[in-house]
Amino acid sequence: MIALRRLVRRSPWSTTWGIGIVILVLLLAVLGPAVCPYNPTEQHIRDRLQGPDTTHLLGTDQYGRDVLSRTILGARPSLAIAVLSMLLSMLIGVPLGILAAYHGRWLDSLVLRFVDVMMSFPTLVLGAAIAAVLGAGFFKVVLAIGIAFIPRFIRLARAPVLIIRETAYVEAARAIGMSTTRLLARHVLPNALGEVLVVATLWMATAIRVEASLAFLGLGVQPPTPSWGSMIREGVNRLATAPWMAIAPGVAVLLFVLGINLIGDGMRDVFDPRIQSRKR
Amino acid sequence: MVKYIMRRLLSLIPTALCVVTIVFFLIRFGAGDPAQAILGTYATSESLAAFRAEMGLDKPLIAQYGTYLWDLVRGKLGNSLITGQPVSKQIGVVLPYSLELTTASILLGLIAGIPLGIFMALRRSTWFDSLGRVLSLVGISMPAFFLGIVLLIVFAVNLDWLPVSGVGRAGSIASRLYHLVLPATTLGLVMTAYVARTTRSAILNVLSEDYLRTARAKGLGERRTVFTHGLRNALIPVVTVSGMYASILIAVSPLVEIVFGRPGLGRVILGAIKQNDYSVLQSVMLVYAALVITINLIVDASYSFLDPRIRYS
Repeated sequence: MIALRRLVRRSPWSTTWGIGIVILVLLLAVLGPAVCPYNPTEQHIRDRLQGPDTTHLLGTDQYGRDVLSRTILGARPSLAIAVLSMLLSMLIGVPLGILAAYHGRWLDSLVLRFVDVMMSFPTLVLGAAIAAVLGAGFFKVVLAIGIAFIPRFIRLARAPVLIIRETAYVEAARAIGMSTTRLLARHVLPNALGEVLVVATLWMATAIRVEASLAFLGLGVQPPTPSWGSMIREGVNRLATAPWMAIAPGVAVLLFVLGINLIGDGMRDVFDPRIQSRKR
Repeated sequence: MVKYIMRRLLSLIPTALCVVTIVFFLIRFGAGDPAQAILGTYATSESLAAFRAEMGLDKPLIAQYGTYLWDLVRGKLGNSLITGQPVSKQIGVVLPYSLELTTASILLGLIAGIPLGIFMALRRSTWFDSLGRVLSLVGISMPAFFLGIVLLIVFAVNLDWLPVSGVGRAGSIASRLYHLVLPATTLGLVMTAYVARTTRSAILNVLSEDYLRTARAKGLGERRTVFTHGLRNALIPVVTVSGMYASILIAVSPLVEIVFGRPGLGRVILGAIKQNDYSVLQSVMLVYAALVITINLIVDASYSFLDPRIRYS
């Protein structure tokens, strides 16, 4: 909370914009149907492929469904997949990273080797391969993106633990005979978690982009549920006649990811001591 | 240097073996029975058995893994489960198109991104810097395939300046380049955004270094100070990050290829996903891992050219 206050007070206007955009998208996703002007899955064949006007602010698609309503509701699966996949990835990657760094020796080398190998696959390629193998669907996409991010979380959690492991309080806890499990859970994990949580929030931007890309390849949530990626995919076939079908969800992805990146940039400016000293 | 590269190549053998093993078991365990996936749920048990025998899927898993490794050593990637054609041939036909696109975009990103980053750093806190920062942030936030769609709508559909899809006539360089402009610009702009941001912060970091103060103190002009003393030192993080982003670019290029209807790895992946052709999917993953590992090797080797203090022995 203190960190957030510090961020808002010290950061430039761009961070405030970032926070504003993210809150707006989250609000729209939560309120969902309450703010949608039309039912997002209801078809009105007579109104199909209408351009943006006063009745349909962002036009309609090939089944006459309102693009604005679908874009608002499309935020739900996209955001849920991003959050759940990051949680899954954290749940597996963070304990592995902490254990590897704390134990050291062969376990650390083994885990590092695994991470190196997994990192030779770009996240999107790994996610696409896993999703292709598992098949499309909400939880399968969560699993695919979650697994693809595990190596990143192992690396992320490992770095601070290498430092924490050498601190006096860890040595003291060991000296009074605390068990390794308790020591890791009570003293190491809470100290490493702050950094991990911050970066995990920023990685949500990448997760959203990966989700949109998987959906674009046909590996996302299945119709009629709209998600940003699958809406872009549907729109691509009608670029010449109904470009708004792809543009609306695309801009939604862009805005949300931009919002998170603006916050990320702001955090770097506020918390990086080197940038601080340069400013002074 | 040659010795270092040889040693790095040798050390790649265990990594490559792990990559191959992970890909093999991921596909085999994750995908279930390929025969069932290809022939569908209504296939008879005889036809399933015949398919398994034909593809060698009836042998024990470890034997299949052994055969797969032995084939790889001899440069064979196996046959497509659908067409029965060698996968290496299928990939070999489209790989040049994918490489042409990614090379052009990486070059474009470096040529535009580095100078842009330098000027943003030198004009820090001016309107030019602010505009550059916002645009580069938009560039990295935009999914590449969506940027492709926007450029396609503007320059191909509405203005009709550039072709909508295809790769141009074979043998005609002008036609090939004409068709490359939009897809390469799409990926190039994303790369430019990444490179410009990194270059800006790298230059800002070296600007306050003591050796630049010394260079200024001995009467060197600002331009020479920055370009001869600052740039070379700032380039190391830029090269590292460019290598990383080149890998990301390779990963997103299939989507851009699909948007622009270009033949390439993108179309191969899409086909493999649609038809459950795990044999092709497996090989494409290996090709990607090989490309990423090669880029990492080039990045490591380039350090010693940029910084004489780094010498590999």
